[in-house]
Amino acid sequence: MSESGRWVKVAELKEIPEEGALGVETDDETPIALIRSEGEVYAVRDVCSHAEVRLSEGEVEDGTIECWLHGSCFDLGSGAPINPPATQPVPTYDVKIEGDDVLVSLDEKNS
Amino acid sequence: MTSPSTEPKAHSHGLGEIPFSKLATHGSFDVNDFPVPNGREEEWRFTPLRRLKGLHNGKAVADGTDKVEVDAPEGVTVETVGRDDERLGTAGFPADRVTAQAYSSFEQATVVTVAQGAVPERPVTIDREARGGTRFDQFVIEVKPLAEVVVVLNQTGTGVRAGSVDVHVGEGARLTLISLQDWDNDAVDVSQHNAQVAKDATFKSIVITLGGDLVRLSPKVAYKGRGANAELHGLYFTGDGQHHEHRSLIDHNVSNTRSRVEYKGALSGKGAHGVWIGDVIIGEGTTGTDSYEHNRNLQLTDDTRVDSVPNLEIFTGEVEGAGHASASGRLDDIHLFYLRSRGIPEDEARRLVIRGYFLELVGRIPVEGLREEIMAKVERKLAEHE
Amino acid sequence: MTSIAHPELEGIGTYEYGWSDSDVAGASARRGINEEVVRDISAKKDEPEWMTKLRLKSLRLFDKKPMPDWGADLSRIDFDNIKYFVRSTEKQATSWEELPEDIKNTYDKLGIPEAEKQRLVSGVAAQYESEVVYHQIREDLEEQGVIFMDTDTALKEHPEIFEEYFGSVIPPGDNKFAALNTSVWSGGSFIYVPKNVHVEIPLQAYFRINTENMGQFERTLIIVDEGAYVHYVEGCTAPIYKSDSLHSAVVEIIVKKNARCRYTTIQNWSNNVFNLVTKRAVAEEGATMEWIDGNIGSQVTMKYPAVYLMGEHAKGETLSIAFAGEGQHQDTGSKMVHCAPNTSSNIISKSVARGGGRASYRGLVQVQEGADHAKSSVKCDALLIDTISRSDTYPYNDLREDDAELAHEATVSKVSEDQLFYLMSRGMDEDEAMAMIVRGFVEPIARELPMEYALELNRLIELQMEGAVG
Repeated sequence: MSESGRWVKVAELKEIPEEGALGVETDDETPIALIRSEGEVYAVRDVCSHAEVRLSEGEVEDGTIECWLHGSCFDLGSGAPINPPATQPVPTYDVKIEGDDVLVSLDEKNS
Repeated sequence: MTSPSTEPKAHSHGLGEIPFSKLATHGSFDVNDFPVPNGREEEWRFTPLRRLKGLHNGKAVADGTDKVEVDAPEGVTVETVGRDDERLGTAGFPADRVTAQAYSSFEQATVVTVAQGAVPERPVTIDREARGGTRFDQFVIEVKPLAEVVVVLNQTGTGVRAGSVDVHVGEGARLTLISLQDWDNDAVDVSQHNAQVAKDATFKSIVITLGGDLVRLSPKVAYKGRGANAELHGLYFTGDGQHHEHRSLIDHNVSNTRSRVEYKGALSGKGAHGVWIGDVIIGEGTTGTDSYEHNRNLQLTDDTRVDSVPNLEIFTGEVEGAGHASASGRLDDIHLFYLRSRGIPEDEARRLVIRGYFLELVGRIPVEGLREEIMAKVERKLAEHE
Repeated sequence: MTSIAHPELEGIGTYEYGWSDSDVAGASARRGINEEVVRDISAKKDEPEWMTKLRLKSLRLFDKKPMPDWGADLSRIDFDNIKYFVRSTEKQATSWEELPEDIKNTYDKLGIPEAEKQRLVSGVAAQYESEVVYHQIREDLEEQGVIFMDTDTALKEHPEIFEEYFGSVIPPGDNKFAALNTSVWSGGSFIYVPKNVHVEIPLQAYFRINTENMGQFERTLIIVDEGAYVHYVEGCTAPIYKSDSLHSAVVEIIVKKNARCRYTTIQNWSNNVFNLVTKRAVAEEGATMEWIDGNIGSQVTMKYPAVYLMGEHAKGETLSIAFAGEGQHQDTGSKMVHCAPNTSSNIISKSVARGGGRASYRGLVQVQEGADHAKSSVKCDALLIDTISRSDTYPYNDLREDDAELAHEATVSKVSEDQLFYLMSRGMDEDEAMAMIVRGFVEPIARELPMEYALELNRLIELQMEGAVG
């Protein structure tokens, strides 16, 4: 677990597609999905809570991301699952944009 | 030699989301026959790949050292041999990429031979202390007909270890193999035990896993003749953040064989994860198989996780008996209540019940000194978690 | 038991209802699936745009998703050789007399009018070639506000319910066949039971596949509102054809607070049908969901009715029977996912394999963190009656909460010579004796069925034990 308030640069804003996602890894190998939806940028742990699948490979729509393998949708703000088969939330992270850089705080917000 | 399916094995939930187990013994000695796992494969989906220290993706480099001490009583020979020794790899295929990596990469192997009819008065003891780094190993234990022996593989220390133990139990022979994983809490150990049990022979495996950050041990049994018997006993005490995974496979490929599998686990502390997969195949055309599997898990604290999967495939109607049971949960309130009603305080009652739970299994170790030593280790672990 | 085969058991898995009607509706249907086919289905049904979009999205998911590489052998399914939509009559019939003659004949053979006459059923939605053509519901149910109709009509009449619930329990991406169903679904039942309404008699629907190579993709959505109760009974029979048929249904059920739903299936598809069905219920606080699932027919069935126990004190129960005869693989079981405290689940599975058939139990019990005091019990029994058949058990137990109990037990037994000898010494011949043993074996489940279904099940067992060739 990282110390409080540790911000790290993980990507440049232009790398994240509109209504889409980018999978990155931090130096300590934490997989993070950076998602842009309706103008907002979100960060969640890039592993579905249901199976070992990258969420960043899924479809983004209206503030949600859908796992491509089994169809579970997650709310990007809270990380909560919207429908089965997933029943557990995915960890979410704070995001801030500085110029072109996307920074995330490695403290999980909702765990 | 068969090659594993190279098709990606996405763990297709959904219609399922239910695990698939073909159970079949496929495998290869060549690491390149196995794709690098992504964590969705049935055989890898419980294992935290990130903690394998590169054993699964070719990044691990053999740079470790071990201190090995062997005590071999009369009738037992112990040799160190090179890759070309023909006794290596004769008891089974590596069933996953890590075990195949170990077979592809090891430099030296240890071969223990117990002479025909020998009944050594004390156990063969292999004390193995890992001293850091990564090592790939192979062990062979060959028990000639009618011999009776106890072999203790006592493993301690730190590092990343992968390999196989190949076991041949000759006709009418009896082998008790005690494998103790008392690693330091940062160690990684992935190993496969392959046993071939001949006519009227008995193979008794006692696996005790106490330490390690990640231990994944896969005992596999095949039978070579009627009247062969295999008993697999296991105990795991899984603490904070530890991952202990035991995956047994019993292949009743011959008629009139018997198997018993009983694994008991206790889990304590955040992120403790115990996995038990017990596969049994009762082969086509066989008769008179007698098989039972049992897994029991005791969850001592919150935030632990247990996966218990007793798979059974039966290809014949002529079984003597087959079945399995799996039960997981907290301490039995009835036991506690009984002891407390006798005036024993709750803490003490808890300790007694947990101790009894382990003693039942440790009591099956046929060497008195070792029994006490292992119980003392269990007590120490328990004390750490109280 | 000796290795002598039991010729009297030859009938297990053979099929009685092996006729087919003149193939009027199916001949003109196209084979294969693509965007055009999906758009056409949606257009013919005059659906709202969101449904068309959902169908197209599901088609993309279907194309993208891999076939399951576990369970049964599905390699013989040829998706290009299936008709995805077949219309049997232009508009729905409102009374029995309005039905076309050949359809009436088919139903006569299935005994539906009798059931109707005897008022054993409260409403019958009989599905014939993808669309419900016959539909009647008892007036008192309507008065209570119970909605029981085919899914296509329900989408038109209750769009707001559909937008809320359709795909909320089983998303299109759940698995390849759920994606396929969501892209081409047609027909199925829709049930809404209002708060505190108890539907006293079982609601029933018969399904029939009547076109060679026709996929049947019915979609069922059941919502049982707070404190309500319903028992839905689904039966399936299909005629025998030379090439393989695909049946891939999706059943979604929402059981609200303190409500109870029982869903009974006796599946008796003919032996060329691939029956790949996704069934899942969500049980809210204090709710009970019960699946009674009998699998006797089909070539391959993969079906694992699930209950997601989302609210405190929710209960899930599955009673499952599988018969696998020659050439059949029944890969069935159940899933229970405990997500809330004090939830409980119970799975009882009984299976019989003969003639080289394969019966597999595949199950999942998962207790999520926070589901304190969850309890689950699973019991699987397999009965072996010959030497060449196969019986498997693949139970998966995942416990992530310390304050919970999970128990699983499986036994495998063969028919004992002693039992057979005893019964035969009482004057029974061997097939009668065997049938009696098998009936006794499945009795705990048969007694949970509505009477006419218990009779049907017993009759099926007897037929199979007699070695009747259909």
